[in-house]
Amino acid sequence: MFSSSFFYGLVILGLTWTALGALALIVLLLKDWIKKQLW
Amino acid sequence: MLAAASITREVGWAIVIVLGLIWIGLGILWGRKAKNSEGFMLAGRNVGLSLGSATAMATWVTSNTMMVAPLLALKMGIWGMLAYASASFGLMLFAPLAARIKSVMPDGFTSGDFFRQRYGAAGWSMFMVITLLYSITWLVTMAIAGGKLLEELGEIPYLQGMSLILVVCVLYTLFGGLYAVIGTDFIQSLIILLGVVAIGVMVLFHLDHGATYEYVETNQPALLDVLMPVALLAFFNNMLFGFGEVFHNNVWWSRAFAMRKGVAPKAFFLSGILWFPIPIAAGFIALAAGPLGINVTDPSKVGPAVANHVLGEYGMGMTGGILILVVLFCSIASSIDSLLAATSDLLVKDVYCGLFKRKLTDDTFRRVAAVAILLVAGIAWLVALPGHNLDTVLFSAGGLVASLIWPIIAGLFWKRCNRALVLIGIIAGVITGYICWFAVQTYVAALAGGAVSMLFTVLSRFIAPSPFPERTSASPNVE
Amino acid sequence: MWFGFPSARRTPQIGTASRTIRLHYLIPLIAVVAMSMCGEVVGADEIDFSNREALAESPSDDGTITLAWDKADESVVVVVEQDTSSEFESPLLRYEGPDSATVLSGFRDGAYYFRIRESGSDDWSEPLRIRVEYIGRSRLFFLLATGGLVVLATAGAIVGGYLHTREKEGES
Repeated sequence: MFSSSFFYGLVILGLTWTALGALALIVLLLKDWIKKQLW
Repeated sequence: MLAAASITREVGWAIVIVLGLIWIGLGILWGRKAKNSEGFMLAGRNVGLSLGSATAMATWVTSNTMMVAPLLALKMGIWGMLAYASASFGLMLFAPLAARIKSVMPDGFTSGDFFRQRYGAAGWSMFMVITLLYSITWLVTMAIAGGKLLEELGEIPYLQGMSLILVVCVLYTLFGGLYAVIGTDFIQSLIILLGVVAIGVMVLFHLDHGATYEYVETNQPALLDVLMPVALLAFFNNMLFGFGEVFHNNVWWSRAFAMRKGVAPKAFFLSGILWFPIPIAAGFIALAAGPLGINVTDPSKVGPAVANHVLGEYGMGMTGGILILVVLFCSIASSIDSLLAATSDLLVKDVYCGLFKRKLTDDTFRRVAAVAILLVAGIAWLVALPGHNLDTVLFSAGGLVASLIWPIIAGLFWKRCNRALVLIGIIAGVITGYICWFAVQTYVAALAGGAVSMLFTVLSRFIAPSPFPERTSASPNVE
Repeated sequence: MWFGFPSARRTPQIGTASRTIRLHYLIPLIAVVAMSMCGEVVGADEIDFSNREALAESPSDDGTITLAWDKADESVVVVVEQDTSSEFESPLLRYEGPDSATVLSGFRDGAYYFRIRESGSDDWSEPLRIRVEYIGRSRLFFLLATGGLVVLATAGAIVGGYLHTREKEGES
């Protein structure tokens, strides 16, 4: 059986990872914008 | 069951109209960048990493991600969430494919082009039937989902809500082409990611962790099992379904063509990484239903039901409803616009130009594209009218798309094969997939279709193989 | 049907004493019997799971069980219990409320019994036995092995093909 710590660890990992994803997109957007490489 | 009165009808209309006007406004603004058909359909072939990754990720986040991830978590527990997350591997594996696509078809427009080059008219026809069937079904399920959500969350009558969502997406796609689609996708992807985190964090903080785990352990033990049979099957099946969907569909091929050289592989790989945690972050809330005493009557709505309940407990009834509606609207719109654009591209380039041998000029391309977009949207609207749940049609198509995986691999990387055998393999895979869905076992359709087609394609390399035709073709679209 | 019972009670066993006097004793007896018959008759119309036969016949292969019932009235509250035996010695309360269905998930292999009643009444429905039967182990492992093989082969063909063609392009 998956343990309680595994379950909550997975959930916290999922939420943190998703949040970092949003951050990464913003950082990449700014980088592309500065270098005029958006589109 | 969705705490229906959390948003009033006026607020529901207001949200959709305000968001809709923003997207349409941006569509008109960005659409000015498209000076020719290449600009309209492929955003000038110069899209960078940030916009590229965001659009690939956002398109792959559909309302299914928000509604089906919790459903799978409810039915299959921890492995259910992981099984859904495995679909992201399709995006990651598309990275090397995208690199190869750009190198063999630097001036290519559609995946249909590729199929015609490699597998001739027969292969192309088969491909077109499969992809149009799949894409339109997907589009229709999104339109229906949108209509039903607006009805449940915002008390907007189904027909009006469904039509409104389609009209908004058609308008900004019409005005702005792929520029508008990709630009709005970026904004929508941020809203989706942040919305999922906000809801997830609130649910997580609301739970009594010990009691929640204990409840599930006592009453729903299989959800925590490491060897949960149906979930393990779903893991591989979903992965192959993901491969099939991403590898064949013009939605992703057009993005590969749209991205700047060198960007496509990185963007697709990154989009897979970005997408992976979303089913977990959105899905786990379903496991809170039992412990929170929420009675599940319709598993496909367990996600919004739990979200609504928890946000209501925080005294955020109206705000919570708005948040859920906005996130779901963005995930639906980001898929509808991509499907409209990519499917109409196929009709314009493969059918109008390729089959009917007409030329596109800088003056005529917008009109032709507009007709194609309206045609696709019109068909989707008609099929979505009765509001019958088409999820079965979509999910049973696992074998349909998985059967295209190996033919595409062969066409991109191999020098020779027995094309007839490959095409027979597609048909065999499709049939096997459907038989498995209906008669054998759930969660094996994509697996079966993919395996059968793989077998035929591998054999085609050894049984009377012949070289692929030269890259040049009579089509005005392909290099 | 119950009209017949009181007269059936009027058997010769009651006695040979004056019939008129005995009838006075019989009336409350008849009334009590009639009222208990009423209780059982309402029980015959009591709430029950819909689709009982279908649920009992085909086992669940994914560990999810959907129970539904027809209610006379929106406001009627029902109670649903679950146990692993039909005697309901240590029942688990699964649902209490006004909805008309409940989806229960996460069951392991085995047989489960369910019963339902209206919250005011004491009369439970007949126990409903539902089996949960996952796919057999050998079949499961065969499918998982196939899945794993196809996935690995696919990933391998893509990565291998990519590296190989990239080399070739590098050379030319």
